[in-house]
Amino acid sequence: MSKRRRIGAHQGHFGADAVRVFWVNPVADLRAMNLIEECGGRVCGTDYLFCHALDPIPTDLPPMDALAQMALADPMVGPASDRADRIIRDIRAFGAEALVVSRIPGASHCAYEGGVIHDKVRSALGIPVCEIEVPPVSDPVRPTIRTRIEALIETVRGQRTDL
Amino acid sequence: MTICAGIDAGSRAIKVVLVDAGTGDILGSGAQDQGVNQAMLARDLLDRLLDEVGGNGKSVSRIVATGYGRNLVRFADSTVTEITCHARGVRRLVPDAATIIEIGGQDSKLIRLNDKGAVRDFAMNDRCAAGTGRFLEVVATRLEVELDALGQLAAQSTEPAAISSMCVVFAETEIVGLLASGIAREDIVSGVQASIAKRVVAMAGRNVDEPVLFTGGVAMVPGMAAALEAALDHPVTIAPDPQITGALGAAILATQQ
Repeated sequence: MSKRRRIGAHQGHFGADAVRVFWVNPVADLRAMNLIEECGGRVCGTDYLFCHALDPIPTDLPPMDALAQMALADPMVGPASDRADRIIRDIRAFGAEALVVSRIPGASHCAYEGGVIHDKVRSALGIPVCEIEVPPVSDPVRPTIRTRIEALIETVRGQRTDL
Repeated sequence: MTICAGIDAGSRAIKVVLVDAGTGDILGSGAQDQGVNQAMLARDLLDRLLDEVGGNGKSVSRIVATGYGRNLVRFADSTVTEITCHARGVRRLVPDAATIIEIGGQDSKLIRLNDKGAVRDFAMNDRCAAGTGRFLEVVATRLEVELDALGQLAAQSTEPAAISSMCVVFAETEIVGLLASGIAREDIVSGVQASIAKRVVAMAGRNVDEPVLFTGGVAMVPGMAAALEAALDHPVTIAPDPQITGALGAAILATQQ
C-alpha cells in the first residue's frame, strides 16, 4: 500500500496488535531498537536524558525560578526515582504495555538507575520490564538481546490472552 | 496418533518432548549432549523418540523449538523463547507455581507468573557465567571431580568457603588460592553453590511469590536447591523432570498453534 493510501486508511506501518514498548535510554547501536519491530513490537515512547529539554518552560514563575526548575528536571541532576516517576507518567500517557531499559556498558550515568526504574514501574503499572545492556557494536550479543526482547513481546501477548 | 514435539536446544544439552496433539499427554522425552551440528542432533533425538512411541515423521503435526539454539533447528515450524516455554512447562507440571528459577549451562532466569499462569515478568542473566551451570563445570575441572559428583561432595561440607569474586574467571583464581591454603574441596564446592545461588537470587529483588519452582539442568545437581533456599529465604521445590520443562512447554505450545 502506498504511503498516501496507508495514511488515508489510518493505518500504521505495524500490525494493529504490535506490542507497544516504551524505551528508556538511547543506544549507540540503533539496530538494537530495530529488534523491537522484528519481534512484533513497536516503540511508542522514549525517555532519553535530554527529554527534559523538550518540556515547556513555565511562564507562571519568576524567570530565574523557572530556569532553575528546568535545570533540576535534568535526570542527570535528580535522583533516579524522580526520573522513574516521569517515565511512569509517560508510559501511562502513551499506553505502553512493556518497558525496555537499555544501558551502554560503562556509559550509564547511574549503575543502579535501571533497577530503580524497573522496580517503580513494575510496582506502579505492573507491566513487564526488561533491562538490556547494548554495547556500541552489538553483533556479539545480538542473539541474547533478541531473546530478551522476544520474551518481552511474548510476555505481553501472553498477558493479553492470559496464556 | 498425531504428535506435537517440543525441542529445547540448550547450551549443554538438547531435550525433546513428544505430546499427544489431542490430549496434550506426554508420550515420551529424552535428552542428549549438545554438539556442533545442533539440527542433526535434534533430528536424531526426535527420530529416536518417535521410534520408541511407535510414531514417525508423518505422525508429527507441529514442532516448536526453544533454547538458545532454537533458530538453528530449521525443521521446526516455529520458535518460542525459553522463558515462555519454561513457564508453560512448569505450570503444566505444577499448576500453582508462582515463581520459576531456571539455571542452565549458559544462563539463568527468574520468571514470575500471574495467577493465570502467564508470564508476568522475568529477569535473565546471560552475560556472566557466575550465576550459571558453567561455574560448576569450571569448578569440577579445577577440583578434578566429575560434574555429577559435585553435589555429593558439597553435601559433606561442614564449613562452606566464602567465594567473594563475582566473576567466574576471578573466582577460579580464588579457588586456586583456597586449595593452596588447605581448604577442603567439599567446602569449596559448597561455597560455589552458595555463590551461584546468591547471584541468581540477586535478580529476584525483594519480590518473590511462593511456590518457587527450580528447573533447568542445574536443578539436578544435589545441594543447589538448598543453596537457593538459603539465599532466597523461601522454600524452593525442584520441578519434576527439571531438564525437560522447556521442551515440554514448547510441545504444549505446539498443540495450541
